[in-house]
Amino acid sequence: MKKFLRKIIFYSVICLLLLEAISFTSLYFLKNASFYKPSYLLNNYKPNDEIDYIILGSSRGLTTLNTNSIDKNLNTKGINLSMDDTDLKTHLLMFKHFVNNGYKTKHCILTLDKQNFKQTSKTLGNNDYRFIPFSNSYYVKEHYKSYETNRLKLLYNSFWNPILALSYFNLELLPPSIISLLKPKFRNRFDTTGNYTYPNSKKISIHKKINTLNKTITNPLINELNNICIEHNIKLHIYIAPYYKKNINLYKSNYSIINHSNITKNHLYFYDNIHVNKNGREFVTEAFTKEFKKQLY
Amino acid sequence: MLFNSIEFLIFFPLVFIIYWFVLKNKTKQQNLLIVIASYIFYGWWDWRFLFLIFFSTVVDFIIGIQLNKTDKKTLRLQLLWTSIIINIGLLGFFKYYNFFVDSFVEAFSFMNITFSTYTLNIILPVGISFYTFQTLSYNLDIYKNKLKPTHDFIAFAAFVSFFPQLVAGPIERATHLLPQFYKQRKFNYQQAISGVQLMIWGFFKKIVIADNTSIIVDGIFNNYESQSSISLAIGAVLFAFQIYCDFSGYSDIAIGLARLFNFDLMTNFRFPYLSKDISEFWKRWHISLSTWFKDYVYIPLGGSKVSKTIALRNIFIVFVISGFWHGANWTYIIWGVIHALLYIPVFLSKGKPNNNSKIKNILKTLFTFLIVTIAWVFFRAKNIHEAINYTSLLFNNNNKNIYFLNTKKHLIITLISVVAILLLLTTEIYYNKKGKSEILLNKKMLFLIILITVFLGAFKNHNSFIYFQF
Repeated sequence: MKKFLRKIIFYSVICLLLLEAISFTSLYFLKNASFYKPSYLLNNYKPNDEIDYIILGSSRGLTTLNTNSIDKNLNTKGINLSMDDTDLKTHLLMFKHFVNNGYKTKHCILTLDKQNFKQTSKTLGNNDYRFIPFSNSYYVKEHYKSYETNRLKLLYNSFWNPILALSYFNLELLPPSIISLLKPKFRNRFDTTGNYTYPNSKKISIHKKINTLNKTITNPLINELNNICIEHNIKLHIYIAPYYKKNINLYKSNYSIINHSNITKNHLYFYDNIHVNKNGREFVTEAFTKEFKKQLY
Repeated sequence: MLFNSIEFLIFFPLVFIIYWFVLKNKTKQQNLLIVIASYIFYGWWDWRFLFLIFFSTVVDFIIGIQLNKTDKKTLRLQLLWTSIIINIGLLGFFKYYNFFVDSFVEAFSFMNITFSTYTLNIILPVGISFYTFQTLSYNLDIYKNKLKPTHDFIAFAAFVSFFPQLVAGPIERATHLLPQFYKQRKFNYQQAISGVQLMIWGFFKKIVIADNTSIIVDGIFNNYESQSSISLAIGAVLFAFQIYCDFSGYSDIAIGLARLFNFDLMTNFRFPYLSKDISEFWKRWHISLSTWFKDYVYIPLGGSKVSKTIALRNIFIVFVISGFWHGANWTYIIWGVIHALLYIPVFLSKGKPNNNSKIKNILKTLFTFLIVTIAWVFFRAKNIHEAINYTSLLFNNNNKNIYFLNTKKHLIITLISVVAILLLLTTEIYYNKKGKSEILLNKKMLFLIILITVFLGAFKNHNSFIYFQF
């Protein structure tokens, strides 16, 4: 029995050390590459770089505004820090990641989706694992602690014990870490300034009826984001990206709001009901640039 | 409680420590611990299940003793039938009541006769198909004078509820397992090491192969009407490995766990996809069930020692019941019928010389795998209509959609599954050639398997074991 237990413990320890070594190495490669946005920011921009504005949001923020066009017209420098399949709590986390790493900007454009006007889900976002390489940072730890519901707290404990997180999110972390090792500059579906665009294909019904919603923006996370903006001398702008045949009327708010929810009903500008396509992006960016110019000067 | 759960990670070491350190050399107390641990393990699903297994245990324990007390043939037969009716009755009620009601109604609806019926919201107790057959075999063996009944209720309860094999087998015979509860257990180093080796291999099959393939299989079967023939073929093949790795993985873990407590369980799978014909397949697949049906249904019906017609009838009955055992759905019965039809030609050609070349053997193996895989489509499909449609679209289809190419994630999962399956087959072919019936890897391979399991296992998309539903 003693021989058996000694052997099991010995080989378990060896195994654990090997697995931890691989896990730490994978996260190291991810942290020092550009595969996911959190790492992309730190490895492509320096804190003293002049960044005039950042865009936060989900896939709607990622695909609606083209920072390259905005910068060309306004002679500015902007970064799109939006991430697909995320909600307001992850946008806030990204913003904290930005400011806590010493980056500065003058304007924060928050692309707010209608499901986040009042509240945000209390569970971890689908893509929150992308911040694992920075899980030793207090703001990331705090986020995982607040939203992680699994019993093992895989992400919260991932700094000292990355095996569990890497095992659980193996597809999302291991292949990207291998790609990060081989091609550190490779970006996961976004261009050099963080944008992405959908193709000009038809996925929508042109017979859809126009839907009008009257909403107020009362989500407390926006207050939190705004407070951080004030602290860092950043102006917050809430941007409502276009919806196909959906008109969102917003009640008066203290925030600076650019409401393009109903800027166009042209089905040729939409990839689906909630995302514009390449042509749509050009159209909307042009309209946004005109409005944003007033905010800049 | 699942083997791959946090609860089991805490439960098992506790039981192991108490068993070997606190209750060392105390057989009766160890048996009591097994009963308590097994009831906790089983009750974790639903505490109400415990009444059922306790009832089944008490009934068969008493009947076993009574069977031995009398020599009167009629009384013995009555007692045996009581045991059969109670065990099969329990199984029939919990598993098949709604099926019979629905089938009855559907049959009469063809003649435009409608009934108002009452189907019950019955929860199927996990493992009921396994432990009822196990306790039934106990009394059948006593009746046939193959076994003396036990007067040790705790040992018997431990035999019935032994947690490693309680919910998905192997279905143990009392002649094999029960005596192990009487003798003093001594920790056996080699046995324990082989147990750990088996468990690691079992977890690899379950977490890497079965759970990863299930993602693709579910996607293909749920959208089969829009899939191309290639996609449907891949779906069928992947399901063949999903069900094999899920079930044999569980068996390996169960057998491995039992060895850690100095128990020896029977081999349940012996590389079935290396079979050269259906007859060999059924000697290698779910061995505990197929031998159960052979000993308690096929042979009592006359087996093959009767006229050819009766023998064929017996084969048919066994396969249909075997299919039906798996679940309350016509698809399982049809699956059984298909296997009966595939088995019959092999049965009829028995005795003929079999001197095949290597290439012929390979072709026979591939052909056997092919026909078994097509039969699995019926096993997996939700209903007969879906099974027939799937099979016909497999051979005649203009769709171009290939499910695993739809997203990068699915492509990666499919690649992981394919590589893992190739690793499985290579290992099995190697061990089969050496005449071994189980895979006990060396240290280097075990490290590799652990690495693969930890980093390529489908932990996020894990499923419970398929055979739990039976």
